[in-house]
Amino acid sequence: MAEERKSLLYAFKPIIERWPAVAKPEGHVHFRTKIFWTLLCLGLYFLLTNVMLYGVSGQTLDMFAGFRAILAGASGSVVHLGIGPIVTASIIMQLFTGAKIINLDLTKSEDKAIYQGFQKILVLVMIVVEAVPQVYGYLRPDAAFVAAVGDGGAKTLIILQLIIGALIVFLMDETISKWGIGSGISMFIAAGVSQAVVTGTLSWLPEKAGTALSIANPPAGCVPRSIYLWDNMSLSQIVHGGGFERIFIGSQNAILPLLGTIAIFMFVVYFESARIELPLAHTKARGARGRYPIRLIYASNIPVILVATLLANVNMFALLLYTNPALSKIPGIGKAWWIGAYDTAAGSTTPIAGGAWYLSTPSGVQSWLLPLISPERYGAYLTDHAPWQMAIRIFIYLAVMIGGSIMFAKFWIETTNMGPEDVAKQIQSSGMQIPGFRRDPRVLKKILSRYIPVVTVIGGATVGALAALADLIGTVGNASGTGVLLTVGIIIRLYEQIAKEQAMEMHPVLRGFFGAGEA
Amino acid sequence: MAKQKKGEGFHSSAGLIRYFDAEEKTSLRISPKAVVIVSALVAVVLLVLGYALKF
Repeated sequence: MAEERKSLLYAFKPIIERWPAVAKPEGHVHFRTKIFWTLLCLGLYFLLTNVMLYGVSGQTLDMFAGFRAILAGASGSVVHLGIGPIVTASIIMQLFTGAKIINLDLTKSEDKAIYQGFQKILVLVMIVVEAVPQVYGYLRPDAAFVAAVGDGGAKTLIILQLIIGALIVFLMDETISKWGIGSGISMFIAAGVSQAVVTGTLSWLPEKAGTALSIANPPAGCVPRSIYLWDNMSLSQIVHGGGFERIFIGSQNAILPLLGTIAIFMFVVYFESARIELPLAHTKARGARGRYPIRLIYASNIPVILVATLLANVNMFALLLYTNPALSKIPGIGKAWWIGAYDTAAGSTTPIAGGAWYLSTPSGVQSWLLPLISPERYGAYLTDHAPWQMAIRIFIYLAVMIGGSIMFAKFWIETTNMGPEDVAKQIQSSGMQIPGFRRDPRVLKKILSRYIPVVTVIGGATVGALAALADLIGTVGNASGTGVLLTVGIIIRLYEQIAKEQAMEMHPVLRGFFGAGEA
Repeated sequence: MAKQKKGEGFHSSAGLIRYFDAEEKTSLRISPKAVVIVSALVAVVLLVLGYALKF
């Protein structure tokens, strides 16, 4: 089928062949060199998150506020867009290939090259698509800057900076993927979330920056905050004045979110290692035994990323439709509260009503459970909704996260050749068989299809539920449950990869075995 | 264990499929040094601009 009709994307082949790319290493790269490039890029990335865009006024609105954990980057900085364009382009490619709209056979290297090449072009397109709307109301140019270079000039210069920043992230990602350990994308996510968790736990700076510490304005980090409140509140304030409540659950960085973060960490580590192992024996070398692990989280945490990115995009479009001067004039869907209403005057890009509100991520018990228990004290979090509406919202959020994760998990397995048939072929071609069964891919497939489809669904539901639960309990430093879940997975994978790299340094024979080094 | 990983050949990071190994050899190759130097330069230029020409 694929041989008869080549994908339309082959039309882009001349561009793909001439597209600039980071040079690939020739031969084996030493482990220390890999660490060097990884740390260097990571250090520079951190520096860039602190370099603010030139000419942007102080009042910026972060369109991606709730989704920083997945999109990385930092609001108002050169890397404002973070890895958003890369992820979005990649998801579009995946979904289109999965749905066979893009007709590429990803087992062939020629098609793979086209896939990879076109994805890069798409990243560039997405960078522009995501950079341009930013200057219309979200990253406002400074008044003096406008006076100096004109309104159009200021906007163009800011867009240009955003594009340069996004390109740097894109190239760094490629550098880390080729010369370093892991990939830039996962490194940037993990780095951002870890930073948020550490500051959320330890920061001794006051919650409202620039004002003196007081009971109303305690230190921001969990540990200093708890100690400060405990020390400075009187006994009656603690016991009768809601002091316990404030210390344990009252804020993003109270004690419960810290416990929640630790609990999620433990849970994810545990679930990551849960697996079914199929025994395998080598057909020719009879003593050689092996195991084929089918991990519980078979599709890993990918479904969660896809669901979260989908929700991020829904929020972005709802926000644009409500607040963008041009888009909000579209009759019917422009400025329609039922799609999503926002109070951007208050500097917030989280929805306060409408469909987007029902799909928005809760952050910690204080944002949903406490208003349900005592609406009079925590009513502000309800944003004019009745408690039963909040209950429905939580239910919808759980359903979307779990249901969406199952759907994307199934989809992912199909796109990435991880289904029973493909795995059977892979095992067969490696010369292994399940002892006691005939050596035939069909037999293998039959055994594998007892497990893989079930594991995919249960695994998808598990990660979805874990992420949703984590968001409900809350995490310190606004790291978001999804963020912590992803980070733990990334760190485990990083650890495995470092172990593998070191084994390869010690035993050069293993290099060919792991398929690395020949480049 | 490692034997089964054979046919995999794609880079999966944070849920994205990328085939860096299947990439075509292009004429325009950027060295990793250039990436690092350019990003450092951009950071320095913007920092200096931000301090020197503050509005």
